[in-house]
Amino acid sequence: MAKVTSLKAKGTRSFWKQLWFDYAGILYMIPVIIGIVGFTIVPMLTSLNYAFHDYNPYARDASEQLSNFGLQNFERIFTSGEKGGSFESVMYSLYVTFRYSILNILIGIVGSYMLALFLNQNTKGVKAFRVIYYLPVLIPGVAGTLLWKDITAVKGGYLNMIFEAVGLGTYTFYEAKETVLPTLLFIGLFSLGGSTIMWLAQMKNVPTEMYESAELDGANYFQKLFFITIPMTTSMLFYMLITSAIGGLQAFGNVYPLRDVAGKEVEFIVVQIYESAYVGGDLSYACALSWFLFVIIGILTAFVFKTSKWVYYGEEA
Amino acid sequence: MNKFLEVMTSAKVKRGAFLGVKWFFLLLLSVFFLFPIYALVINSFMPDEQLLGVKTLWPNYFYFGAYTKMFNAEYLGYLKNTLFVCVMNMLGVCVGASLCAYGLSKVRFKGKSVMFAIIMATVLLPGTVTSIPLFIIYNQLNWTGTLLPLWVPIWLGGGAMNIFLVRQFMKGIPNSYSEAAILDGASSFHIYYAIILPLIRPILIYLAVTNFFGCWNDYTGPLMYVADNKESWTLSLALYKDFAIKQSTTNNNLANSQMAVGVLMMVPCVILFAFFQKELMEGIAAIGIKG
Repeated sequence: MAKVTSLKAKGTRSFWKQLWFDYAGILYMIPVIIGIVGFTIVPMLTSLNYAFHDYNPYARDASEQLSNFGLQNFERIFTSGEKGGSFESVMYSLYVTFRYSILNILIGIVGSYMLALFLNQNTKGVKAFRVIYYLPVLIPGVAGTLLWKDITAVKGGYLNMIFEAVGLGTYTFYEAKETVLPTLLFIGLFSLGGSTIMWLAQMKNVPTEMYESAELDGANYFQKLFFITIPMTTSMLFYMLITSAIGGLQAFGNVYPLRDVAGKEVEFIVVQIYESAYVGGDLSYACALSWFLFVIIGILTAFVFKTSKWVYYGEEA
Repeated sequence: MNKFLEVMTSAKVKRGAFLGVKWFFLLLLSVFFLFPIYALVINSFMPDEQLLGVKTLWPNYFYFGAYTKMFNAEYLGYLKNTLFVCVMNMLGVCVGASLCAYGLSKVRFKGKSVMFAIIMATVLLPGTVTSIPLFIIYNQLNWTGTLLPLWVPIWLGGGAMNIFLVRQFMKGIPNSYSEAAILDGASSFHIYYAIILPLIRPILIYLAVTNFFGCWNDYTGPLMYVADNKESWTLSLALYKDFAIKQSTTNNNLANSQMAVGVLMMVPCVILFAFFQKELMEGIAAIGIKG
């Protein structure tokens, strides 16, 4: 009933009266408001507060843990190592993080798109292959990292066994500085199935009449691909760009257990944040570092959104 | 010879050759994607002495010790914790996200679009910014070391992306359904659970299944919040703590035990994926629809 009454007299009521008319809608919002305030806004403000103070975990009283309001934590990020800062290590970790993310996103999007085109056919039996290609995505995260560590072991790992058998010699994988990135990217290939499923779902949304009329006009495979399929799937591309950029820059779980072999090459920015907070015990610096990352991600997403004119969302209903 | 060429270039043979090439690549790619699965399964059956000595692509004999070792009280306890967290998350995401999405798409109130914009903005926030203060907050609430941080938050809204998906799905349901019910005197909550909930079943299955994958495999959450209390460990945390760390220091735990846990953890996910493939695809397709 609330719905009908609130429709009639809009914009002429006092705040409290409006609240009374809208109570049904607001009731549905209460859980999410509590969630956003409690688990997003309060933590964000707390984190900001920590970032601008010195943190002392050994203080007797909780109220004495934070002292010295100021920019010192942010200064540390931009001061070179000789002067007690951490500029070089932060920059190196940004460099490895970005290098990995950009290449991984590129390979991931192009590779999964090609795979999806290949699987987007009504030939009998193709559906079964979807499941097979998706299987590696279902390997539990920790087990996956351990498994790949084992497979890529320089001595006695399966990959080197195969390489030696076909006469390619041994590869250094995580044990040499230069081969860490190619190894990470190679392993990334096995999770292509995840994005492939997303493309396939989107390709199904493309109306078949479009292809039929294009065929009548004599369009070939590539014309159909570039003028129908790709433009019609840009909304998914946009979604994937945003989520994989946010996810890639925050990569942690898949590289954290590799530190003992690969060292600095897998010290991604979130690994540094985690280490300084939970191993080093310096929560303030870790918070400052995560705000630094937040600003970078914010600028990047804003840029992608600003330049998103190419995205097609379908006809306005 | 001419006749041979004629036959070879005929449409039927061309089609056949094309199909042949296609199947060849489909199978080749299958070998590629099945390789890690093969390594995972085979390693779990590898006998101890072979892991310490010379490893081969096929074990000398199949060893089941890695699996039988795991059926102890400790691991059953971890399984119980994991199942509890997963079930609470699956229920929580369905209730939380559908209630919020229902309010956003089917109930009228002032400030709705602002609310939606705020909810969507939280997607862009990197988890790292809030993870440390969340740890502090959970600590003050005395939640660290218990399973509460792993399932309570999802009940409060169910995550912005999930709200978005359910809202997309609900937009496809004609308002005439609920309007008819209003005329019959149904309350908006009654419409929610009697009319809307049954209609959005596919997207709820999608949310439940993807959330199950997420919690079942997540180890960073448990690593931050429950690592100190062994009684609250989940399977993936135990896998990390017992095998990933110990292995690098004492070499006590061999690849067969690690991989056996991995295989056992993977089985439920594979079953769910194969069973709900259709719903998963439908759920993903909702992402691309205009919001």
